Amino acid sequence: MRKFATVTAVLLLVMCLGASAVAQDSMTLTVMRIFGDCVDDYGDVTDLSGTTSECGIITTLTNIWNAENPDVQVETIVADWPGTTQLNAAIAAGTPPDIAVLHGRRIPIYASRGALTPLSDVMEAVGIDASDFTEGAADYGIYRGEFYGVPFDLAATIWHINLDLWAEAGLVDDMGAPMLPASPEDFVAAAEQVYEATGKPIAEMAGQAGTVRPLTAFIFQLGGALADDAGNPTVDTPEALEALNHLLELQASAAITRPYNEINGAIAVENFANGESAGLIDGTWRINGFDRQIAEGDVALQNYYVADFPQLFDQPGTFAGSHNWLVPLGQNADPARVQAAVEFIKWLSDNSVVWARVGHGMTRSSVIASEEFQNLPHRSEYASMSSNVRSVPREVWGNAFWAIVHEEVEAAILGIKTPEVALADAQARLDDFILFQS
Amino acid sequence: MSFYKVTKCAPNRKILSHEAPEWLKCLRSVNRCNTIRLSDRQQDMRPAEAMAHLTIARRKPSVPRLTKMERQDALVGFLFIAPFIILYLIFSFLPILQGFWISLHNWDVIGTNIKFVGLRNYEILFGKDKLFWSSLEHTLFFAVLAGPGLIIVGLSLALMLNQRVRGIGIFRTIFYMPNILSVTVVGLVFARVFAPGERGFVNAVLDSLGVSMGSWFLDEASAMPTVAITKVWWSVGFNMLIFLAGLQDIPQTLYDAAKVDGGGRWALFRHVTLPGLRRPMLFVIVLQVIASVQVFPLIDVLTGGGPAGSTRPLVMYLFERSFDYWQLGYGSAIAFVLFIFLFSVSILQLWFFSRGEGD
Repeated sequence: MRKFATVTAVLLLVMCLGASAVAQDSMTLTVMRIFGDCVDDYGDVTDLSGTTSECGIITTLTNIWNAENPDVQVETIVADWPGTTQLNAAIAAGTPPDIAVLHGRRIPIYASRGALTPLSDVMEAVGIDASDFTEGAADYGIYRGEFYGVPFDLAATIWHINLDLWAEAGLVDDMGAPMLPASPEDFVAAAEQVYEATGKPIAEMAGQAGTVRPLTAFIFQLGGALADDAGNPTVDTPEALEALNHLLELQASAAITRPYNEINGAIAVENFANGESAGLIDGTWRINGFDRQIAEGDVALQNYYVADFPQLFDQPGTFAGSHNWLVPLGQNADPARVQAAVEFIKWLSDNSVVWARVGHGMTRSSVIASEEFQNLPHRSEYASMSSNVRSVPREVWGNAFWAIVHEEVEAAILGIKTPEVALADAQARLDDFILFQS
Repeated sequence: MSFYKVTKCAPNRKILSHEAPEWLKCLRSVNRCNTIRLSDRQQDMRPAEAMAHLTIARRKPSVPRLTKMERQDALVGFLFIAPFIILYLIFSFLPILQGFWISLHNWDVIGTNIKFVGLRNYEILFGKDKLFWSSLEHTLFFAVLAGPGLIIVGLSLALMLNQRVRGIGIFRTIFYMPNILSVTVVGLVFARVFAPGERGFVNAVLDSLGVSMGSWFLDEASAMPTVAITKVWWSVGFNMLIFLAGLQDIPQTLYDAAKVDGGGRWALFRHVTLPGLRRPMLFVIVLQVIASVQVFPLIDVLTGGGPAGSTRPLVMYLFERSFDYWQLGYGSAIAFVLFIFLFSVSILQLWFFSRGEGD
């Protein structure tokens, strides 16, 4: 009896130790992300076919990973857009998630404070080829020469076009493509032609799509820069003034857009879907939504085309944001945990072509060259976007720049300030921001 | 030296100990709970001369000795309020002190880059921060627009609903109902109500009358008044409820007496209703001023502080500096100034409304 009890005890001990060893091998990674919560619809879905929304795709991708990797499970924490409030609170409390997603322009301030884990070495170790990122896209994840984020997509400002209305104005060629203007004069002439034929504006702009986005695009196209050699913001420049004056002319023309104070972002999108405007300046994230509405047949928009943001000056250039996956575990994180986190990020990046269904641009040359990507709707129409995009300078003021310049440009559009005063005020506010960094 | 104690205190009465000189007993100024000190020399003086040197010592209020049962009662009382006091100290008082401490630093929102800068944040705030002053101006403008509306409309609704009519409870519920909606719901509804073009309910009505308006929230002149209208619609039910409770506390006999004296409707309102609502009015005004100065979520949802920052209130500004720009130290300085401002205004209001209240 005693022998039996001893053997039983030893067996139990071995089983416990075995279980413990298994438990130590498995790992749960927390991922704090935006893109919404759709667990009710996609909670256990592992089939990606037919899924085209941001939330549906990322939830399904996570489900597939969890099904295929029982040892490294991923637990999702959904944060409100833009994801910074909850992330900041978690970092300040000393309980950061293993992985988070942020817009690339927000990375420098986190990286400069040591809140992010440097990723260049571990990316190489797990097989992420940094040279596969397109030149414009790689910038979004880099701060001071080091990768702190893995660029997942390019969310660019583009030109949504209603081909039927352009055809009414005789601006569609034999191939069924719109005849896109290539200079400010061409642009105005095309707008007047469409307006005369249809009474509808050619490029409705509202909210940030009518302020900081086109302004920075025009500054890039004019060869201007948003920072000096020392990395300080420069927005009160001759190029910026020329860009702003040009933007004000566009905003003042009924042939180009309805007055800024009569539309907001949601209404501009509705106008376009309802065939009340011949074009819309907005982001890549709208593409899938318009296609879906057309397929459902409940909007006036029928023949939909996606063009690059109009290039009106010498150089190509448009603004794009980029969602980046990052590891906010700080400088001295557990290497095994960081490696596991980056392996998950690599897996997402390898499958990013699915993410492109939303309409976003891709960051990896190999993905862009893939047949699956090329077969996605409209891709050939705005193919040059990925090479034209420019990032806000990789400095701690990148995010502040966005909000401040939007507000000051808005003041100029609404006639509250002259263009000169608006740019000078933007510069002063950015200088004030820098003051607090010293 | 002799001491004469007032043995009985009452307004306009002075009963001194019998040994006091007759002239002292007649002294009109000695009619409170005093002890009168009279030196031997003064006792020999003529009354007028002695009065010139009279020393009247205020009697120290005597602390009544508590019985054992009273002490136990007091202890139980303290124990009852202790949880609140402790939680208040931890979650309200301590954060105020901590906020002030943070305001003396450069302090990132994630707790990094902490550097003591003394009063520099306050110097910048009062010295050259134009946005601080413009945000304060927007905040006060909002308070001026929304405050009177909230009080006048709230009081008017309360007067209308203070009737003994069948089904009045339904109306009271209807008028209070907006108050239970979340700020997001209210924001989304009113974004539609005041939307540009035919999509907006207000513009559709105006269009049918031949009046053309753009976007109420995208025009610098109309944005803040529109936010204030939304605020009144959303919050007036609460004030209505407080006034209604106050109205029901006013005895009917006062109205009856005033009517007997020939008082008309306006006289009844002015001399019976308004004085009877003194305390509810104080409560509502203090709360409304605090709520108006702290306005943020409603404006965030409706205008985002725009157009061009023209509706940015102070709390939104401190949020931007703290959380968007990571300047938690500077944001805390703004918050502390706001706290001092609100505290002072509230004390002033309490003083103003408590003047002349009976002893």
